[in-house]
This record gives sequence, structure tokens and C-alpha cells, in this order.
Amino acid sequence: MFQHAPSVTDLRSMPARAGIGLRAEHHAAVLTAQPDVGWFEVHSENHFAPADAAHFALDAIRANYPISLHGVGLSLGATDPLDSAHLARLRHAIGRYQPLLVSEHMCWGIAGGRHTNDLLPLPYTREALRHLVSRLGEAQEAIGRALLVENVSSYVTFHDSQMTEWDFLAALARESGCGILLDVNNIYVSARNHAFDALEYINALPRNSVEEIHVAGHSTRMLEGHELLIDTHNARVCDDVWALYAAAVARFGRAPTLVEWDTDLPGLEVLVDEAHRADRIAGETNALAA
Amino acid sequence: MLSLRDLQLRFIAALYEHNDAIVSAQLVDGAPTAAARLGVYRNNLREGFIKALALEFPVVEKLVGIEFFRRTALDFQLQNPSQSGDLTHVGAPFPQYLRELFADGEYGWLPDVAALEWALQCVAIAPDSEAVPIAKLDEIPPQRYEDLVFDSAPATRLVESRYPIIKIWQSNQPDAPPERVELDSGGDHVMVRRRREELEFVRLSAADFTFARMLARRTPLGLATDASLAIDPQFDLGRALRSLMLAGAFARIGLNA
Repeated sequence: MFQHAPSVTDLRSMPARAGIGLRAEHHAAVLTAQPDVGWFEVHSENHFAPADAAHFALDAIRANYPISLHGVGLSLGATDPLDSAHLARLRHAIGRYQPLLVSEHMCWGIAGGRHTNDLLPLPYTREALRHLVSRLGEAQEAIGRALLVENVSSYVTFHDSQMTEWDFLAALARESGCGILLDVNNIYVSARNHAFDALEYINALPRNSVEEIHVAGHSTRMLEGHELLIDTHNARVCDDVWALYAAAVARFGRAPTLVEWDTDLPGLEVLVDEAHRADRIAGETNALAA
Repeated sequence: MLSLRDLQLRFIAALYEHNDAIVSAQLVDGAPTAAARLGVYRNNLREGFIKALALEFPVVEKLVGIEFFRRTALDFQLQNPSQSGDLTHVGAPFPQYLRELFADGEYGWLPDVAALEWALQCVAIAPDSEAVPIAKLDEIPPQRYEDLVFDSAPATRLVESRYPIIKIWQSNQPDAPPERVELDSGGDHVMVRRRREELEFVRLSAADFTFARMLARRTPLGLATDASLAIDPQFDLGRALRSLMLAGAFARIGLNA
């Protein structure tokens, strides 16, 4: 007889708890340790290759955890044509890995055939909004799935903007019907860089629009004697961002939450610890709201 | 107000061409200034590209040194900007770029090492395929053999050099002991392949390599055999074909229409 009842892993729906951004350096540790986290998110582009080592590792990991595909290269807000080869590879990856969520960014990266492979901010104009709604529809059609759209960190703003970023994002969700992947670290970084109130941003978004939340660490650079926050994903989440996270959970309810870390990767246990902290904060916030 | 298209074209040009003035009128100034803020994106553009290229060509980076690699990568980026949201493809023109840069000079071997590294990149991310079994040849009437054409297995690449590029590659791996490689100790003819998770260098003779390359370019078997015999009168078609098929070089064989 077995000594314990079998544990239950549900791969059919994304749990409303915290997961970890999965990077190749942690594949082996995850397979060995099977950490107690809700799910894993990978960068879609890192898994476009049909058969590399990353593919074999992800196949093993996704047998035990729900997976999300998070894209960084589709350039939804660009005015160059959507890259049909990129869309085809994304569609293939979706078929292959069966992610429960698929997401991209509210940004652009290419113009005139020159790509920056960066997440560049849009001018928040009515033209950009119309364009993004239309491109989102085109992309979703091509991949056969709904895309969540994430707000990005930014270092510049444009004179041409006709509305705030949060009004733009709320309008995008309303007009396209897309779910929002709310990155509270990105809100914090941009709020500090452009001197706006991060809570005003959160409170402007429709209550039922947020389907995933990201938290991450950032760094501070001194430029011309002034601070600029840079979205470097290289540190633990700071207290201010945890406070914003609690505010987001209070407004939008518990959502699948992801701890992102890309540079100067620590051991897996640090990421697991951050994920557990997110779960604790979300649990306490939900209890208060109840 | 600029159109979204014009704004984006200006933004990219300002980054790539190091000219803030192209877009500065569009940017809200502040503290730090718009120019310093734009510099963050320019820095991302440069550093991200260097990092991606270094991941694809770690041996080249080690051989030329980090500083020289950085300068070369940035010059290369100006002529070969990333065109895709997936940086995996960014190194494709790099071996040829190095070939033009170093022509036949003292570093003539460097482009060949780059070609070997790019071949590894390509096979690492190429799809799997089933090797064609040798028994497949029995289905072809012998009198039609000369019309046979071959499709290369996707996870294979052919690289040749008059320098010992395998030895250079091996002795510049992170955990390899320092070793002196004699550049005139003979060249390499290599089939780079991946089987499941294993990457492999398969050494071929010069005649077998020519044979394999002609077949990879879909030259019919008869013509490929003639070319290989011209290099080596002892060339043994049966042995060469068998060893390439056993090595998984082909995904499909068929008769030329």
C-alpha cells in the first residue's frame, strides 16, 4: 500500500498563485528539486527551436507544471508588417507546449527592417491605439489564441501622446477585449522615471481586466546627477513594488503571479523564496479584502 | 504631429545612427535629459547585440579578445542590423563578414572557426529527422542510381577549412587546457550534426566531403560521383554513400524527375 494519498497536479488551469520565470540555467535544478511553485513562464522566442536542449528540458518540466509562453519579439505596436515567420513559430510553440497563457508587450521594436530587440514605448495617441487594436487582432488570428498584453518600463515619453499610459492600456483592454498582464515593477519604474502616481495607474484599469501579474527587481542608474530606474530583472523585488503588488491584488483579486529574474541569476531557491513571498502577500491581501 | 510610422522610423534612425537630433523634437525633456534617456535605449541596442553575438560565437570572442570582439560586433551590427524579434538568426552573416574583413591575411583561419560555430548554432536548433535506412537503396533499380537525389538532414551542416578548425575549437573551450595549435598541421572537412541532445563533429575525407556537399546541393548521384573521382581516383562510391547514410546525413532520397 502507498503511505500517502497521491498529490494532485492540475495542468488544466493556471493557479492563482506565484510561479517563476524559467531560464535555461535553472532547468536542471527544477527537474531535480521539483520546487513548490504554481507554474513556470518561459520566453516564447527561447523555445522556437524545434529540438534544442531547451526543448527537451521544457518538455520534462511541463509534465509537472502549468506553462505560460511570454513573447518579447513580436513588436505588436510596430508599423512594419507583422513578421509572419515569427507568428508561425509562435503558433508552432503553442501547439507543442500547450501553454495555459500566452502573452506579449504593449510596445514596438522594429521600423524600416531594423530591429532593436528591445521593448520600446509607444506614443499614447489615438492612432497608436487603433493600430495596436488592429495588430492584436491580426496576431491572435494568426496564432489561434488570445494574447495577454503587458505594460512595459519606459525611459522616454513623447510630446505627441494624447492620453496617459494607463488610459491607453484601459482603452486597449476595452476596445480589443484583451486581458492585461500587469507588470507592477514596470509601473513603478515608469512612475519614478516620469513622475506619475503608480496607484493612479492601477486604479484606472478595469477591475476584471487583469489576468496575470509580473513582479521583478530593477536597478537605479545615475545620469547627469539624476536617478533613472532601469528594468534590469537582476534583484529581489523591492518593498515599494511589493506594496504595489498588494494594491493590485486588492483591486483585481488574486491572479497568476510571476517572479521574473534575467540578469545575475541567483540560485533557484531565491526565486522560490520570492514566489512564496508573493503568495503570502496575496493571501494576506485577499484575507483583508474578504 | 508625426505619424506613428514616421516617429518610429526616426526613433530607430536616431539609435542606430547615433544622431539624437533625428528624434529629439519628439521627446519630452526632463532630468535626466531626453538625450540621456535615449542613451539608455542605445546602450540596450548595442549591448544586447554584442551579448547575442558572443553567445553564438564564444570561441571567436575568446580568440580575438573581448574588446576587439565588441568593436567588431558593433561594426557588424551597422551593416547587418537584427531584422527579427528572435535574435537567434543575428549571426548568420558573421562568418562571411569576418571573411571579408580578414581576407587571406594572418587571421584567415578566424572566419572558418566562425563558420564552424555558426554550423553548431544551426544544427542545435534545427528540427529532428529520421535517417534514411540503407535498405531504401534496394528499392531503387540499379540502372537509375545515377539519377538519385538526396535531401540533407536538417540538423547537419558541412564546413571545410585548410586550417585545423576542430582542434582550434576544442582547445578554446572554457574547460580546455591551454594548447598550442599548429595552423599548418592540416585542414578539416567536417559534418556537424546533432542527434537528440548530442552535437557532434564528423570528420570526412576531402573526396567524401565534396561528395556530401554536392549531394547536399541536390546534385544527382552520378555527377557527384564523377566530381569526387576527379579529386580522388580511389573514391569508393559504395563505401562513401553507406558511411554518410549511417551518419544520418540524409532525411530523404528520391529519383530526379
